[in-house]
Amino acid sequence: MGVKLNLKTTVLTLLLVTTCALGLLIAQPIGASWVLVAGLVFLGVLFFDDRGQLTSSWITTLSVGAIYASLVWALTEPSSEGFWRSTAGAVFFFGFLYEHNSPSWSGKNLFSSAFAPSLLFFVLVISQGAAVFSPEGSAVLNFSAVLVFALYELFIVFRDKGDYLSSSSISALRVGSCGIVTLFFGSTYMPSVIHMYPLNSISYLVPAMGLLLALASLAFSDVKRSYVFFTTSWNLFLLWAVLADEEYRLYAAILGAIAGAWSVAMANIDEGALEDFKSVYLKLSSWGFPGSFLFTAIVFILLPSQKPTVQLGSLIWAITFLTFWWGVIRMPWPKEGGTASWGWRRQVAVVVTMIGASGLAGATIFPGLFKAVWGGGV
Amino acid sequence: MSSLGLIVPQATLLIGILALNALYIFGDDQDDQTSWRVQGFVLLLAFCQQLTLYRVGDRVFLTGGLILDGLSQTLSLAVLGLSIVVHFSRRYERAPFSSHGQILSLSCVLLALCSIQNNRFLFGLLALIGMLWSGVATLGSDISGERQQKAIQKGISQGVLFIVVGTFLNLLCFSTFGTTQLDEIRRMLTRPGFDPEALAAVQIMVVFIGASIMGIPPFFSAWGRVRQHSSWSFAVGITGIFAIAGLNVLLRWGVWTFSRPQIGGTSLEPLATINMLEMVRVVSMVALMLIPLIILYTKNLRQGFLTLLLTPLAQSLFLISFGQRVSFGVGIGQVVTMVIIFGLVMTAFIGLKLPQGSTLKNWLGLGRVNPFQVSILLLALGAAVGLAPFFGSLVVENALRINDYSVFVILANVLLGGIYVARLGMLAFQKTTVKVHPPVFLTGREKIWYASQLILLFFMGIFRDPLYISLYEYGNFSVRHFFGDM
Repeated sequence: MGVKLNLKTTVLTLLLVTTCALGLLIAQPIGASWVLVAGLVFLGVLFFDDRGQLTSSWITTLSVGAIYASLVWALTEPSSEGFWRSTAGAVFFFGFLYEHNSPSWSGKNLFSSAFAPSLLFFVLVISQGAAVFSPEGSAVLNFSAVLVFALYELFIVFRDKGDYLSSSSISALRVGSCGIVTLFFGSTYMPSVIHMYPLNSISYLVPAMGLLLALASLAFSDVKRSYVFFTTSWNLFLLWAVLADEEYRLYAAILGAIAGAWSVAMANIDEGALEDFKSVYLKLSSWGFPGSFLFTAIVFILLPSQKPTVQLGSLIWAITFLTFWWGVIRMPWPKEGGTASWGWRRQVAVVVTMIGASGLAGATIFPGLFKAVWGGGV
Repeated sequence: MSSLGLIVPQATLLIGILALNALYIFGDDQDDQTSWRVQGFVLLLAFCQQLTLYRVGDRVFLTGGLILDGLSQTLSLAVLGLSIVVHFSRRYERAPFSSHGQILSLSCVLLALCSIQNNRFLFGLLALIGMLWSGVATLGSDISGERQQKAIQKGISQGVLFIVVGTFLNLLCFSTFGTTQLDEIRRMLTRPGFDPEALAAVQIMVVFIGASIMGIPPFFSAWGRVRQHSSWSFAVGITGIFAIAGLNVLLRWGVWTFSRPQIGGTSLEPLATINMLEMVRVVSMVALMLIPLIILYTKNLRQGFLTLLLTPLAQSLFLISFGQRVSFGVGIGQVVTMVIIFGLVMTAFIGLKLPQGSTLKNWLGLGRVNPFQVSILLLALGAAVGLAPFFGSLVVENALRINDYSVFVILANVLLGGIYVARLGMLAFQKTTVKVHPPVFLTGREKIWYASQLILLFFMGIFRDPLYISLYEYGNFSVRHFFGDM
């Protein structure tokens, strides 16, 4: 059970730790908490990356470092324009990372390229600062950009071999980064116009989109493509949680962002058969099945509320997740062969989902504890 | 420091040219290394000398008509920086070190500095024509046979066109103002009584000369096909030097001479009947629309990249044309980052060792064979277009903050340019039915040279404040001179 470190892993770890430390030094107190969350997501995904995807080449390794640096820079920016521009930088590097690591495809449709959502995201976020737009117009552009980032993998999933990066460490980083960006934007820069008519309908639109994705995923018998729909839906779920504008729901969503990213990295859904209990547990955990870290995050975010929009949204999300789980149950899982390789990292992954679930349950019982930690900064 | 100290970098370059001539006449014909080292040393020394000039007092005018302020200082450094990158890239390109090519390229740099720091239409124009001829001859030195003759012939005929336009410009200036000195003309324009038609003619000729030297579409006929056949480093380097010199013409001869700072010094107002700022804006808007359209319909990679590389300067010109002090520093900052972008595109393309006349077919699947070079090239092109996290995104953001519907032109430019980069990125990692070139292995030193430029470009984008602030308010790098608070 030795720890095998190569040069690229060491360099990436040092890059992440150094950038995190620099971010903590220059950030405002509340920004520092977000820098730490981003550090947890990235370092966690790197830790669970037992297939070495993030360190497969120097280009990939440095791109991950550049994404993290851009994200940390975004979280420490004093203005919303700076935040969006730096985030667009991270999204641009994601496009590059996806294209560089995915297998060759026909390349006939530009919209199926990973650069397409990156470019769209940049144009939307850079336009939101245009002086000719009203606050409502800017808010719509902001939310459109967040939606593009959340729906990122849907652009590439329909191409031949588009499922390749599903449940990969790169996908995990994308899910985690999108979660952090969504929650940071919602809790720090969300304009007040978003709670006014007709923009407040976004609170209904987001769960509706989640439900549509769940229904669409039923059309796929392919577990990997279906999983892309689930992770996309998860990002929308976090966006809805921050739209609810309730403090405890935000804290839960922050834990959900970390749990979501880690679960994608841990799952490795293309390996292992039903015979292998631990493998099945991790796979189900990545779909947020009972007993897992992710499931507790779902429950925690769906806490009861007095707001009618949140009540209705909670109901739609509950139906959405039930639909996803129903799809998982009826999916043809491999019954034999392909036994997953169980290194020490995957053993840790099983333990983390179990302990993490209890930890989250504890936070549900003692919510003040989390507020004290988050409110106090670092 | 004596005001004659301002010409120390030019004097160094002149001594370098003489030294190269001496080596050419008296040295060993096979000894390329010595002349390469001499040229490198001269360029580095001139760059360092130019850098130290930021300590000289603001706005120094020489009797010979040279000018030193934030704009001329920054653009001079950009020209010298770019020529250094070209010089070192030629070593990796393994292009032939012809002595006359080296002498001509150094002459082109010297004349570019003279044109940028000039305070008179007359001498500035002479420097520009000299720069054009030496630039075309530099490109021609890489070509042989009939193509070389045609290239040089084309360059001479273009120079004659500039002489004709420039003669009319100078005659008009003499007849209208009695001088061709820019600061004098600017001072005179504050008084009424000048013939508006003569002023308009001068302005139109200035814009024509500036845009043609800059090479932005639709004014890019100065080159012909000479860049298609020369070495890649000279093609990119000379394009960049001309673009910077052309930008200087539009800003110094055009915007600075025909406008003045408004009360408060936060923006510029026109001094002539025709608003020079608006003229420059129209030219830059046309260029911003045409550049991506041309590259999207160009199959030739070299031509596409050379056209795309003008995007940062066109964006910078567009932003500056609003005449606002805040955006001026960002626009000039883009010129500095442009040098790194040009350097990266130059070195990465050299590293791919693609044959001349390569098209998108040669590009297909190239990212799988040479991922390092293709990745760097893609990121550099993204930076050229103005995508985040690079400095160009700040230019786009600042332009969009201006309350004017014309700013959407820059957004369209970024979108279309981004589509080109996205298409290149998509094709680079695709299946290929064409026989791809064998992988080009880079040495450790080459990789460090490439990566260091990329890291510098990345850091210039995310740690943008030092660059922006130094251009905004620090010593002779600042743009305050334009806004009258010296």
